[in-house]
Amino acid sequence: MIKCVNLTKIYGKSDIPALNSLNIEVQKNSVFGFLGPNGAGKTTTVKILTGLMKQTSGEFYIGGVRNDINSVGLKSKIGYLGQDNKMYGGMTAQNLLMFVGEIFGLSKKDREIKAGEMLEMAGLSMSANKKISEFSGGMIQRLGIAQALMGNPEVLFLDEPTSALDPIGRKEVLEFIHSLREKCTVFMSTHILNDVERICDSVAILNKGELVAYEKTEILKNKYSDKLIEIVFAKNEKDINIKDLFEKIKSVEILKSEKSSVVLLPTDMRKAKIDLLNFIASTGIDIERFEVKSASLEDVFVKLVGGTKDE
Amino acid sequence: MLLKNEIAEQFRSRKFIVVLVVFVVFAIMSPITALFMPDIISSVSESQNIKIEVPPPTWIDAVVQYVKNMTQIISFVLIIVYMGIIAREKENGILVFLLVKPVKRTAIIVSKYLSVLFVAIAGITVSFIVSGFYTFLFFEGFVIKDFLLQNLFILINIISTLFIVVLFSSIFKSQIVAGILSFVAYLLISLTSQVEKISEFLPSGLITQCNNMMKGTEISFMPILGTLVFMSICVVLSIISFSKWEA
Repeated sequence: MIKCVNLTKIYGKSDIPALNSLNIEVQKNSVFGFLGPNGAGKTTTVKILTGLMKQTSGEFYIGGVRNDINSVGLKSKIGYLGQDNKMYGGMTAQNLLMFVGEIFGLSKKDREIKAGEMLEMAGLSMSANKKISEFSGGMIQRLGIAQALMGNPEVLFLDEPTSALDPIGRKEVLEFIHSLREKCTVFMSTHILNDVERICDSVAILNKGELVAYEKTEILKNKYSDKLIEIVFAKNEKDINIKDLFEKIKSVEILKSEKSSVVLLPTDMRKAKIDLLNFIASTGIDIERFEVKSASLEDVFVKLVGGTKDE
Repeated sequence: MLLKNEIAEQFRSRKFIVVLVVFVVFAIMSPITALFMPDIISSVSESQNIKIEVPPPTWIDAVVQYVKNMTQIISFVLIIVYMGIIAREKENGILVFLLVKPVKRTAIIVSKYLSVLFVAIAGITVSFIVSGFYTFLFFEGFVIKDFLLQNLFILINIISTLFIVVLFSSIFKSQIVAGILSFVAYLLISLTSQVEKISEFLPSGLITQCNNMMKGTEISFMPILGTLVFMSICVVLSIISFSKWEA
């Protein structure tokens, strides 16, 4: 449904590409997660694919048709919800959807029916005649998705759709996105790994403009599914320097370290377990949990993107 | 559809109402200022113990005041109100909402130009009626036909100022930059009125023609032609610039 061929973007006279030769294909009626840390090139990719920005080189196809920045044909196939979801604040939700329906060439009757359906689907029927400027963040996001679906798009692009939402709003929006799979292809850029793990069929991980992984979510997890060891420290162990302590152990590599826990990637599981337990016993560090676990998408992400997080 | 939305947005944001009120206020003020100017001058001069003889005001004084107000103060107000017509939407991201929909970028730009055209026509129409009415009421010998033609010249002049604003607003992302450059361009064009050979083909020449009508000298329609070409250039440059703009 979406195909990128050597898609590259270089801003101004910069030597470093914001997006370097991206090659991906997204299957029809799937939810595709586009992951990466801030500045990885996710928004740049989405902007190119939605015709908001021109690529420096490369091509992209939506539904088999090659597109570019000013292609009106492209716009009739897509729906888009941007990171900074701005709509006409003075309009009511109903008026906004009617306006979008008009842009897509729907008759007045069809617009009214479709707007009603979208409001119902987004759970905004009761707020149909309320001004958008009076909406909460979650309501705006749901209305943003509803307006993006008004033209029955083949592909729905969502750029960080849940980043500004509270946990309840996030859950609602994710369930909503998940339910769209039967209607269209969803291309969702995010840095929230849990979101991808919950709803995406396949995932691409981007780092500094480079594609570092691109697989079905389960395959990706299995591919990098080295067993990991997670150690959670007791609450009284506030002052330990995890990095210094565990760097000494040669049979493990620190994958992720936080204030009270560490995730370690063993080079040899049996040896690592013995080394770690001996080390903990000899130093007398108080622990709450010592667990051998499978890699989550977050672990895969950290491993691929690199760097440990010290908080 | 885009134009309908643009005009509706002018009402929703209350810009249209504000601008219309400003037009009406200055339209009324022009004949009233002309009417009371001798009284104002004599009261000031008496307080300074100076005697100034001021001839009784005529409709020409009212129209001179009207032309000044419309082409100077109103133009300045319009620059401030509309400098963000595109730039602000680039800044706050609302243009993205439209750009991902199946509409041509040219159509977006044209709808912006047509919306300011609507504002200018509405403003001048109301001003013509209001100012014409009071000038007719206060002064004898007022020639409505000439005033109508003068308003046509003023209208085209105001539209040209608005087109400059839309042009800069479409080129730049910052509404402040767009506003400053529009003002500079407006001043430079106004200054050309000192050189008749140049101003005859520019919006500044339209004002010269208004003044010529009051002096009873011959008027030229060349400034209308020149200004139409100038405005067309503004639209074309906007379309070219906006077609390359990346959100």
